[in-house]
Amino acid sequence: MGLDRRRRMSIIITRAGWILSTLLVWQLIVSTRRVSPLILPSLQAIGSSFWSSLITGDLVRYAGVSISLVLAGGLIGTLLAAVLAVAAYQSKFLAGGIDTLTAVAHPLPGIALLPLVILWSGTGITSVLVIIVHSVIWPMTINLRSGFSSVHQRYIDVGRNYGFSRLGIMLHIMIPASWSYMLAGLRIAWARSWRAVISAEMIFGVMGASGGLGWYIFQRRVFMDTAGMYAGIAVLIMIGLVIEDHLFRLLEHKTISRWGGRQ
Amino acid sequence: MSDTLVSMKGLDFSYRTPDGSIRVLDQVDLNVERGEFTCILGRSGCGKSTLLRILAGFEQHSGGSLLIDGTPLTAPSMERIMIFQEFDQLLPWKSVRENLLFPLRKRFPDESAAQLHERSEQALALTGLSQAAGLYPRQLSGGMKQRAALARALALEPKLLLMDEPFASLDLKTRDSLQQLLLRLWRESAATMLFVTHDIQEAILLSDRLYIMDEREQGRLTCYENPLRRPRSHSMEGFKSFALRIARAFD
Ligand SMILES: Nc1ncnc2c1ncn2[C@@H]1O[C@H](COP(=O)(O)OP(=O)(O)O)[C@@H](O)[C@H]1O
Ligand SMILES: [Mg+2]
Repeated sequence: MGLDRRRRMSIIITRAGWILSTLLVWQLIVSTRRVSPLILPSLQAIGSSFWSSLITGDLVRYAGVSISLVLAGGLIGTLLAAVLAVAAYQSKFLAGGIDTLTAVAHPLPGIALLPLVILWSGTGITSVLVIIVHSVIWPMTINLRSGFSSVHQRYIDVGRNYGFSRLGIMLHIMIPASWSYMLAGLRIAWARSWRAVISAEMIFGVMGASGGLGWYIFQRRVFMDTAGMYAGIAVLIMIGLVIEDHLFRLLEHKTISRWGGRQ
Repeated sequence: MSDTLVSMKGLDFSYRTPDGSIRVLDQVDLNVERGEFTCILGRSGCGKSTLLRILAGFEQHSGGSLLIDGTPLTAPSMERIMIFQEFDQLLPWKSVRENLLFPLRKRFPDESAAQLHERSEQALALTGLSQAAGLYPRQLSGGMKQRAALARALALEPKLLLMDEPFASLDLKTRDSLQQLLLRLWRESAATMLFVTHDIQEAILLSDRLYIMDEREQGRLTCYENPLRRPRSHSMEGFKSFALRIARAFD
C-alpha cells in the first residue's frame, strides 16, 4: 500500500514537472511578442479567463453537462453490453450474431455515425447519447465476453455446488470473477465516449438547457476568445487526468490489487 | 433401516470429446455408509475426480443407478459439498469470512445476520483461522486455504463431504496436521466423508473403509475394511502390514 501511494505521488510529481516546464516555455515564447496573442495568449490571459468562467459557474456547468452525458450513456451502454455478453455466453447461436455485430460496429468511430444519427433523431440529447452508447457498448461487450470465458471452471462449480441458478452464477461468480476485464473495458469505454461527446457537442451546440464543454470551446473560437478556448481545453485535460490517472487507479487499487492477480 | 448414504450400482460415465466419447467409468459399484470415513485410492487418471464430480451433481452419468439417501441424485446441492485439490477454490474477491458467509446465507435463509456470523466464526475457530477471517485468499498459505475450504464446507453442515485429494499439494508437515484436523472435525460433526487420494498411507490413516480404483477396468472399485483402531499413527501395530497388503493390491 505504501508502495502504491509512493507510485502515485511520483506520477503526480512527474506530471507536474513536465506540465510546469511546458508552461514556462509557453510563457517565454509569448514574452518574445513574436506570436500573435490570437494564437498563443499569455498564461495570465488564460488564467483570468479560466478564473472568471469558474466564478460565474460557466465552466463547471458546461463540464458537468458533458460528464453527465458520458455517465448516462456509459450506464446505458454498459447495461446493453452486459445483455449482449450474457446472451452470447448462454447461446452459441446468438454468440455468432453478436460476434458479427461487434466485428462490424466496433471499428466504426462514433463521429462517422453522426450524419446517420442526425437523420434518425435530430441534433438533440438523444443523438449524443446514441453516439456515446455506441462508443461504450462494443469495447464493453468484447471485454465482458473475454472476461466470462476466462473464468475458471472451478469457480463455476463452486457456485453450482451452492445450488445457484444460471442467473445466480452469472451475478455471484461470473461478473465478479471477470471484474479485471470489465475494468479494462470501462477504461476504453471512458476514453472513447469522452472524446466522442466533446466532438459531438461541437457539432450539435446547445442541447436542452446548456451546452457541454465541447460547445464551450467551440463557442470561444467563434468569439475569437483564444484565452477562453485554452481555458476550456485545460479543463478537458484536467478531467482526463483525474479520471484516467486517479479514478481508475483507485478503483483498481480497491479491487483487483486487493484480490491478487489471478482470478 | 439401512444406513447407506450413497448407493451406486453399475454406474457408467463417458466424456464426450470432439474425437468421440471416452469411457471413464464402467459398471462401478460403491456404497458409502452414513457417518463413515470412506477413502478411494487410485492412480492419477483412473477416474477418481470424475466419480466425485458425478456425486456432486456436476456431471450426469449415462447408466446405472445412483441413490443418495434413497433418492436419485439429480442436481448439485449443498448437502454434498466438494473440496478440491487446487488451492484456488475460495472466491478471490471475498475475504475468508465473506467466503463462508456467502453460501451460509443461501443455506440458512431464515437465520439472522448475527446467527450466520456466529456460524462462520465458529467454523473459523474450529479450523484455527479466527485471526485470518479478514484476509483475502491470496494472503493465505496453501495449508490455510485448504483449512478455509474445509471451514466453508463444514459450516454448511453437508450430509456428505466430497474431498478430491485436498492435501495432495501440501508439504508433509502441513498435510499431517490437516489430516489430524480433518479427523477431529469428522468426529465432532455428523458428516459422512468420501475422500479421494493416491497416497496409501493417507488412505489407511483416515479411512474406515477403503476402495481401490482400477484404471485398467474403467474405475472398478474393490472394497477393503480398515482393521486399525483409532487413534492411528504410522508407527502403530498393524499399520505396516495393512499398508503392504493394500500396496500389493494397488500394483
Ligand atoms: N473434461 C474431460 N474431457 C475429456 N476427458 C476427461 C475430462 N476430464 C477427465 N478426462 C479423462 O478422464 C480420465 C479420468 O480423469 P479423472 O477423473 O480426472 O482422473 P483422476 O482424478 O483419477 O486423476 C482421464 O483419462 C482424463 O484424461
Ligand atoms: Mg483427480
